[in-house]
Amino acid sequence: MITAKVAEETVPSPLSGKKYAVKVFFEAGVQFEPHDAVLLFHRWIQERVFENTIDVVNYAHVHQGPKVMLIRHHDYFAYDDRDGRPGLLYVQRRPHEGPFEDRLREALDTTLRAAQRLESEGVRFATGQLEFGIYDRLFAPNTFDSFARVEHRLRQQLSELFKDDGLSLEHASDPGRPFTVSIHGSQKESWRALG
Amino acid sequence: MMSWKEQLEGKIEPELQREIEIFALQIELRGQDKVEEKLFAETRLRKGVYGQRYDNGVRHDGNDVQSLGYEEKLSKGPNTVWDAPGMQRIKLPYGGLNAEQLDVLAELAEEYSDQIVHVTTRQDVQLHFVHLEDTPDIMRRLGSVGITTQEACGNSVRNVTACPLAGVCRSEVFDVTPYASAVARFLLGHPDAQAFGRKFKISLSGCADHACGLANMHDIGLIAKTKDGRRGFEMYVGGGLGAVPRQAKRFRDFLPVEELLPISQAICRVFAKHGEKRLRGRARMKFLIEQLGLARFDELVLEERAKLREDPRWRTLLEGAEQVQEVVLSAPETKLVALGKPDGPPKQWRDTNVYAQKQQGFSTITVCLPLGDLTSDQLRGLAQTARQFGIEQIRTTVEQNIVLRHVPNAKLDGLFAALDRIGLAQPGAGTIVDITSCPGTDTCKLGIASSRGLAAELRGQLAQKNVSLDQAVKDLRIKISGCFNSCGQHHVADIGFYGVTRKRGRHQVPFFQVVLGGKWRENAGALGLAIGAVPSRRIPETLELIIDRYVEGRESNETFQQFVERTGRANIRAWLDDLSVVPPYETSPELFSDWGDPREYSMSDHGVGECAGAVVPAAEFGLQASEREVFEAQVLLDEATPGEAAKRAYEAMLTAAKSLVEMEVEDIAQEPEVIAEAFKTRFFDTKLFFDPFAKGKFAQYFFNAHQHRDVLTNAEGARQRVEEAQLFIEAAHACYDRISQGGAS
Repeated sequence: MITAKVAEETVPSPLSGKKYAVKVFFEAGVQFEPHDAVLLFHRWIQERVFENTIDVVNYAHVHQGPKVMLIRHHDYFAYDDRDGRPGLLYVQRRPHEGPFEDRLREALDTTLRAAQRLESEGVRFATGQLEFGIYDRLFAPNTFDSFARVEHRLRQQLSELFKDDGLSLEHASDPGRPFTVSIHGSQKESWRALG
Repeated sequence: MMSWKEQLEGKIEPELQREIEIFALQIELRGQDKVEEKLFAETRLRKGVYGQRYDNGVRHDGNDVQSLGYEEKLSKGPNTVWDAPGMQRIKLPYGGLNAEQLDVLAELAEEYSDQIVHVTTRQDVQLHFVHLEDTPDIMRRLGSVGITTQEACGNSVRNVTACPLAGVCRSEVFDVTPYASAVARFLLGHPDAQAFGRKFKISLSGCADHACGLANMHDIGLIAKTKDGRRGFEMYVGGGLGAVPRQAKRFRDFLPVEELLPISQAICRVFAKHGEKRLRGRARMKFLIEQLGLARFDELVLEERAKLREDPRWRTLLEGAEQVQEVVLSAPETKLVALGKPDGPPKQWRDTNVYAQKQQGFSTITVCLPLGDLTSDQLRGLAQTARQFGIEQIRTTVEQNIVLRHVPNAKLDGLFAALDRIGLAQPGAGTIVDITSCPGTDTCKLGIASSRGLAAELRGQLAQKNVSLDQAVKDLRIKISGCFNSCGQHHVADIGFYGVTRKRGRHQVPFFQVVLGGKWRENAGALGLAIGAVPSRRIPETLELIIDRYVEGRESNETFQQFVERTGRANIRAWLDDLSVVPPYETSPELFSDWGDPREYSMSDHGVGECAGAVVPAAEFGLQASEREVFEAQVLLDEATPGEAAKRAYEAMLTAAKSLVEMEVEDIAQEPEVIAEAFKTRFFDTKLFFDPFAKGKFAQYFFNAHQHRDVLTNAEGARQRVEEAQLFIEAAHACYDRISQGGAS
């Protein structure tokens, strides 16, 4: 036990990373294009759907990435099609403090709130999968070691949140990219079903 | 607590590291209201930390002005909320980058910005939506791979630009890269380049005929030349775009390379001494030259040159310049292979994006970046491609693209495929689809119309019909600025646009002024003239009309400039008459919003620019530095290092004394003995430093510290030294205030 404690203290945990990201994917064939996201995000600002919004940024011209963003003070939502897989990406730009479990829950809650709002606008999601990322290389380099140190607590927390014991976690191992874990579970009717 | 500061210890060049730590401390001090607003604003601008649209805390959402709910704290500049995210400009002398640096830029964009890196029209790159508190870490991470943001904005020598083909160009006289590097390094933080009233831009070009260096639109433009076998430059001064564009004037027919740094230094001194400081709109060097006349300006430069003490860096920075050879990691191939085969690069890409280098068997590839943007994934992909293909040198261009140099011809197929995989194999480099645009209303506080929105729209429309366009049209350049300040360089395009606004009833309408006849070639050889303004939404049809008339009406081999000249601006203006009429809002509401932005257009988001920042006298920077040093002394005291604390406290006093002395004596030597003596004779003996109550007491603290500066001090002595330093610096501030108000007694 003593050895483990020393190791934990001297090697910072990836879970101490301060900026999380979550991506949920659109259902195949969904009719929701970057241009629609521009209009929608502007409307969300007008209607004050989310707090602390600043602006909508249109990068529809870039190849496979965050094409349209709703920028908020500490974070942003993006219509993102990295690797050709369109979905809603949530990224924290500023450090968030607190225990890992609280921060993970906060990141998921914020993402799913936006996803649920999109569902109410008619956008359908593939609800059996999501990606979790830590955009903080100081604490969480994208290595297998990071994954090994995160996996147990991440699985535990996600299983509880999604009431799903059969989750599979897969480390996205591209070392250049931020630390990312791909999570697969049972398909839900919608993100709104999670309440 | 792990930090980037600890993580990168020893990996950053010490001087740069110290600059970054000083800036981090200044942020802290400003947060405690211990640094004046305007001083802090100029300080951060000189670190490339720039304001961004909506940083005044409000935004028009199309219906109403919304408060953005930023936390109420101090400001970080006039009308700039501390808590608002801003832009970080990153300086890349001559646009030079390597794979490792691309990787770091990708990481920074992901962790602090919005995953997008934007290449500017001056070979810099920018990150947006960055928080002030994150900037020191960004600088540390950049510093660890040899990049600085120092003097990227503010009243300073901005990024030194150069032709991206320098070293590989078939028509260059010689490779200007080492000279661009020397100028950038020499003037970075140079004392003679700190007291400008406005920014200062330098560019180098390898030849006179091609556009690349744009020498004619810079404060100093240098074109490579040889004379009797010696290297030198044809030197131009006083060019600039902005609201009042001026072409540069030839200043030296041949400036030998040995004189490059001293004459540049002398010009900086003239600009610092004689340039306008109060009226920002008249403060660029082009106005000084206009006011003095070139002959008088020349006299002043020669006077300053004569005063300069020999600086060994004039020579050492240029050592080996003539022998510079870019590292080539791949073996050359003399045969251009397989470009036309079905699965190889398309002909269109080969025609526009591949440049045969003067080094036989190698090519330079232009990677077209729509609107100058690329994602973190693309940056990493580009870095990986560069490594895979042995490409050592990557450069950004003033046309907001990237070039990959020294690609063996035999590897072009593979390179094309690799670029295509990351979405970076678009053809059309240097053609009408390759549109340059400033940030405009997307992120710039001064933006009037959506230059990027328009650029994206035109690019999309032109790309669709590019193949069928007449060759004379394909070769035209389009450049777009969001306002008259010309960051999109609209004056030097064949067809330029800049944002303006018009009113129709109660509503505002985004317009673009059409500028025709500028010349990109010959180093920005001619400036275009405004023809008339058209609603933003009608610019695509305006463009179509102009190019159709050009194709129909041009005489054989007539250039666009010649066509415009022959047709006459009045006639061309008449073409635009119908297009410029705005129907009522009720019948054409689409004209009342801008490209890529569905909000009803409003000018209420238009703010105050930070392009220059406030003019802060050098003495104020010096006194600020002394305050920071005495604060550091205090920290050292708390850390129980009394010897270091006393030493730093003395240095703080010396800095304050030097700041005052430099108000009276230019070029004071840096030796403490000289500074102390000058302070004594000019401020103590004259009683200029005396205040009505303490008289010369605080000056005695400085003399005492100076006299005993090498004596070891215990904790008590160090504490006393720190306290005395504090009092001396306060007295120096008071003395400065008396002098600046003209009330010295």
